Amino acid sequence: MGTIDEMYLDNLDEWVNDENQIVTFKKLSLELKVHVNKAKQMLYSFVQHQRNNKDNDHLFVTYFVAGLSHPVVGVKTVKCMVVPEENIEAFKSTLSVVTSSHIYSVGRSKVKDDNKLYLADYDSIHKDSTTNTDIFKFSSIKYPKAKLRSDTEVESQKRYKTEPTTTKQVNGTSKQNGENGHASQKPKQNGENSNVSQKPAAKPQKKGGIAGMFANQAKKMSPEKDTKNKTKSPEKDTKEVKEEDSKDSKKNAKESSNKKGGVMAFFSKQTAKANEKPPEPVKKDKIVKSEPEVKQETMKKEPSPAKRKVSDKGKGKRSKSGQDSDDDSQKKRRRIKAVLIDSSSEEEMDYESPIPSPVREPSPAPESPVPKEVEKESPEKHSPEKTTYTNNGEKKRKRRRKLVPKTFMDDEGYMVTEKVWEDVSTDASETEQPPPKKPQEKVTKSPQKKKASPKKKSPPSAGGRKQAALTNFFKKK
Amino acid sequence: MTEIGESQNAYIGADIFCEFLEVAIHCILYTRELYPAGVFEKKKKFNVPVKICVHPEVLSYVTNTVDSIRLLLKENAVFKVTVVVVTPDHKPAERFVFEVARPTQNIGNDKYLYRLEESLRGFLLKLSITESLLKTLPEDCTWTVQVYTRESAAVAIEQKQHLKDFPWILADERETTLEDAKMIPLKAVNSDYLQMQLYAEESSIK
Repeated sequence: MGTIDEMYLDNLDEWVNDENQIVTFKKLSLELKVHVNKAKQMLYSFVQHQRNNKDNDHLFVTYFVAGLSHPVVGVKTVKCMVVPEENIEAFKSTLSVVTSSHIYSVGRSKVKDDNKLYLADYDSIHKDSTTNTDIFKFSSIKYPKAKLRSDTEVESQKRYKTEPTTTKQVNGTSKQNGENGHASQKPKQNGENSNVSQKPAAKPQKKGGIAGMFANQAKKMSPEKDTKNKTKSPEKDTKEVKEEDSKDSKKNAKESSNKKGGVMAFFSKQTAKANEKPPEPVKKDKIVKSEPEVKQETMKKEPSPAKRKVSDKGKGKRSKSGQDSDDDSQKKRRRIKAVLIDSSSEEEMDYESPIPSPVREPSPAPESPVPKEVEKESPEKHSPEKTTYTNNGEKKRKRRRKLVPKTFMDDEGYMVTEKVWEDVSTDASETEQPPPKKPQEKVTKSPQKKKASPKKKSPPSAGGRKQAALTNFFKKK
Repeated sequence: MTEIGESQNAYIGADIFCEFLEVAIHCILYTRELYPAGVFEKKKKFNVPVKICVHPEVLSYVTNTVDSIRLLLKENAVFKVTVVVVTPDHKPAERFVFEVARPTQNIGNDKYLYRLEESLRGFLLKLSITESLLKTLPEDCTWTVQVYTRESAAVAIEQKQHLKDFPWILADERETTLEDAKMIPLKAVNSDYLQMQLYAEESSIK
């Protein structure tokens, strides 16, 4: 023990007298890796040693004193103070019971305020505060049930927060099925290329945007989930769809948060990219705005899953949607723009994402989701001005110019996304059969689409676009 | 690192140094008790509490000083900045010398300036405990800031400063020399953005 004593006295002598530091018991316990109580004893014996054996009277010592104060209006309070040595008796006299009194710090300079004491052990205490378990190990205040979470736990928590919906939606369908589904849609889309129904365009925009966001997010987490997500919907029958509607409405809140997660993720990535587009904050606003609408619309939907099929009601709805469209159109446009930006950025995100991104793989199947989404979203966004909403929900053919983001690999091996104007005409009617369910699932997520056209026509158009996008994508490559 | 990168870092370094200098001047005013403790308020800088003088004229004087030093720094014209405590009979009693230089090598490894911030905290701590190393000052001391620059920069700044209504004047020899001075090294830092060392000098006659 004698040798240890020598050593810590030397240490303290060096710190205090040579380096002119203020040494608190906390700092001492961390530096020497001893229990705080031991550190207090060390400081005390150091002070005694200095004063008695070395005639060093220049030490400035502070004490920590705690206790119950004298009752004020019958109420006793617990007081804890760090006081300079000379005031210690005075302070103690203000306490009725002194519960603890020990040395707090030793230093050669006068401590005028708490700044210095805080500053003195700031760095040793805050060093690696997440991994520094010494702070807990040597403290006499303990809570054994509090345990540090492992990295994996933290990860899983994060994941749970960011993608509650996607995990729920994932069902037993295999990746293979998902790919098949995509494949089946392709041919139809090609055929549809020439015709576009106006309404569906509006719907798919939203769908594409939000669904795309979801898909993208899911992809980030795991490519499999993404494909499942997409394929799942077609397999469901209408009943399931209805059920989903109700479920979806409940989920809406979660989904909205999901969206945010996606958007946030996008932001974070985007900041890294200097070349991205400016209106990010705006985007956020709009997306946030859209959420309440989504809820409203889903509410409307819920009561009338059956109505959808009835033409009269469908019309009624549609006409409503037509009226709404005026009010909404502005919002929609804005939203669409926002989505467009999102989609393009998300594409990029996909490329960047650490998970093996489909784009880089040579096989076409995995790639398909990315380009599809891009096209889906982008054309719709730009087209809304031209689209006209008909009350009866007829399909119209339209020629449109779309601003389509194209992504390709440039000479240097960078993924480059460019916006290109393309003439596209689509027929909504043709697209009907395969995609309706898909859209529905997604529709529930984005109520606006539903508003515009409750019928299933809209979804097919979305499918068609996707395909067009795909083909384009490949060609460019 | 490229030329551009270096000058950019030096530019950032100038800003960092000025931020620090402002806090450090206030810290000196507080620890050397040049103003009553009542005019200081506690603020947070570099994640630690610091004392800042809230008297409006002192505050604006410090701000103006630091601003014009910033201009000089960006032209790489500053060798050192000293905060001089002057006795009532106009003799410099002690001074705190901040020697600055542009970073000479790329040390790297401090992307988030975490270490730089830590060392700036260290500077503040050292400043606040210097009183134990220095003799107490006589009553009614005053203070001044002196900047050591290249001559060309001094001329340039003279023209600019008149525009800003905050002129600098050439210091007399007797204001800059301490009699029988004793040097107390405090701290040094060398980072990607700036090199700086701080020491105090104390005259034997006070």
